[in-house]
Amino acid sequence: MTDSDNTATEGMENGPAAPAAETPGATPPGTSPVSTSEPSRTLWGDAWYRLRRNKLAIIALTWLIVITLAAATADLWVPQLFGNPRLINSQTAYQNQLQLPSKEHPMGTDQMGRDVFGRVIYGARVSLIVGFTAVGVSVLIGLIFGAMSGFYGGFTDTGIMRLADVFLAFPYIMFAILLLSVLPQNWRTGLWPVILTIGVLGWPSIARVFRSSILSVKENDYVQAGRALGAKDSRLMIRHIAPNAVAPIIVYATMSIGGAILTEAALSFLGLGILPPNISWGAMIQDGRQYLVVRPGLVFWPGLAILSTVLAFTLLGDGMRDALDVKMKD
Amino acid sequence: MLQYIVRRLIQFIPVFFGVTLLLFFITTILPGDPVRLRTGEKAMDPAVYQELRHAYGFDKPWYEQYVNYLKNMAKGDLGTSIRNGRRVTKIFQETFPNTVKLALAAITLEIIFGIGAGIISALKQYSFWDVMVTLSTSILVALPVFWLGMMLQYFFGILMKQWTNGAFYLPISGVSGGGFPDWAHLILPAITLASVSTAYAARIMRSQLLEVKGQDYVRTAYAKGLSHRRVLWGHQMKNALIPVVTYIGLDLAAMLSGAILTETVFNWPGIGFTIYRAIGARDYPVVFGGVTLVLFVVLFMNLFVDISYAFLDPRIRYTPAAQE
Repeated sequence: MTDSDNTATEGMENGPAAPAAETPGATPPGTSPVSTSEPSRTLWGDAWYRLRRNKLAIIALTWLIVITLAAATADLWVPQLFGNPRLINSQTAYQNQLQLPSKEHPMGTDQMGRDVFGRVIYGARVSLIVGFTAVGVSVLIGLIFGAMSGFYGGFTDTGIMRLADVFLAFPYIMFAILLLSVLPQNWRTGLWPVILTIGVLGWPSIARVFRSSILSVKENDYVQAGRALGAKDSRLMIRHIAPNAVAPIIVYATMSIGGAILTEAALSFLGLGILPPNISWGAMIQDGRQYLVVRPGLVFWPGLAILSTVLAFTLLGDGMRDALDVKMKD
Repeated sequence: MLQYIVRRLIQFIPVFFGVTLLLFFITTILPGDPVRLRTGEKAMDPAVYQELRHAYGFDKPWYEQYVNYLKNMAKGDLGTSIRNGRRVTKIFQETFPNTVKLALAAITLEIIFGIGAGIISALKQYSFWDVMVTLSTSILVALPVFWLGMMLQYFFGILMKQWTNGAFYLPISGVSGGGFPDWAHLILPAITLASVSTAYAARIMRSQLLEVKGQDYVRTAYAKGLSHRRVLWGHQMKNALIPVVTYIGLDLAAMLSGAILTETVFNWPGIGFTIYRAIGARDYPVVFGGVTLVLFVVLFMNLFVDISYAFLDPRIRYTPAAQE
């Protein structure tokens, strides 16, 4: 399968994500690692083998594992070492505020006397949760619509794709602003409003990607054979088509997580996303904005956290695209 | 050609109704109380409340409301601001020119640097410059725009001022004032706004050029004995530019619809900043009106780009509307 794909796409690149394919360390598309003398690997084992040799992707993966672990275990060490990142202690807030970085506060303290490092770690927790679940929501909706669209074609297809057009015609961020600003205040607490907004807005791209990969898989002989043997639609879909159409979705979803994190940060920066007491990198930047002259670190560190995390998801996505040999059109 | 335009216009109809219907439902039917959203949270006499409900037409069935909504929109009536009682259309008429100014400056940067970097990158594939372009575009795409804006403000507006004792620095907010010529105020916001799209434009330019490089007609052109330069500008660029131009066109639409993040960071009094302030002030008619306006700008620009695309690329006209 990989061989025929390679010959079909040699030298052909499309879409903005393409240049990263040439990053040093990426496996050149022409060299198929499947060799007959070795014990046979599964598709996924094969992909993992190729991903491991992509230095950038491995650095990105390592970074993501590190921040995920840090965020997941934050309750165990951050409050003890750096104080409660959410609590404003009115007794000490004034004397502790806006400190420069020191041993006790590696990134200094904010205008409320809270440790910035601790807040960045807790911000990672929010960003990662929002990123993963929002994309999860998009994938869930997108897979259902994409599958229906690609599998049934005809009127269903037209209807769903027109609906996708409507969603895509909205400028993403404006749509999110609109949805979040009409929600009553008491519905806006917690992470769910932001997750659902970003998730719902993301489905059309997933649906399109899945639809087109289904279309390319649908006509394969083994699907026709299954049909000839009398398999039901659902069986064809789940057993034969979906497993072979799912690789682009995995790649696309990985890249989308970075986008979801960026959107969350932007919404929080505008005051519409994550609200206190939850800590968000975007909201931290908004809070630190008025101290930019005296304490640029209040803006710098959360921004660096966003940049590194989003970049890591992009690089990992690029690596997975090459490893799974997925062709992506924009 | 005419057939293509007509087909494209017909396709536009469901999208138009879909978008307005969605907008209508979000702003009037969805959870909150539409009267409250439009009048603010002041205590109100129930009689006055009922009167307002009637005046806004919220007591009518939804399809009548939708028709009214479309009628008002056709008349250019987007309501009035809660805060200062001014007409929403008037507010945006005043702020739109600032958005246009910023968008044009940013798109100019995008064209020069995006296409330029893409060409260099593709011609010298795998060279030092190519790696640099690839690397920097990856980083740019992952940057939060508002953060980039603030870092530029800090570096060029604050650090520069300290280092040069105030001899050289750039204005960091607003459209005028501070003893600077007006164009100087555009520099940082335009760079910020252009940054991400420049990266995308460069990537598309690069991959397109690499794609046409191996095509038969390019080989034929070389075989005819044309110079490198002639082949590049006369043959390769002609085809490779089409997707780039499309991307930049769509991007201009996005910028014209108000770069809310950039404008907010630089207090740039355009559409985006107006919407941002209206959100903070809970001035919902301004938020709704602004978003509606933005959507129309984007919808029509998209249509325009699609049609001009067909002028640029004859192949589009003959393929049945590819909806992928």
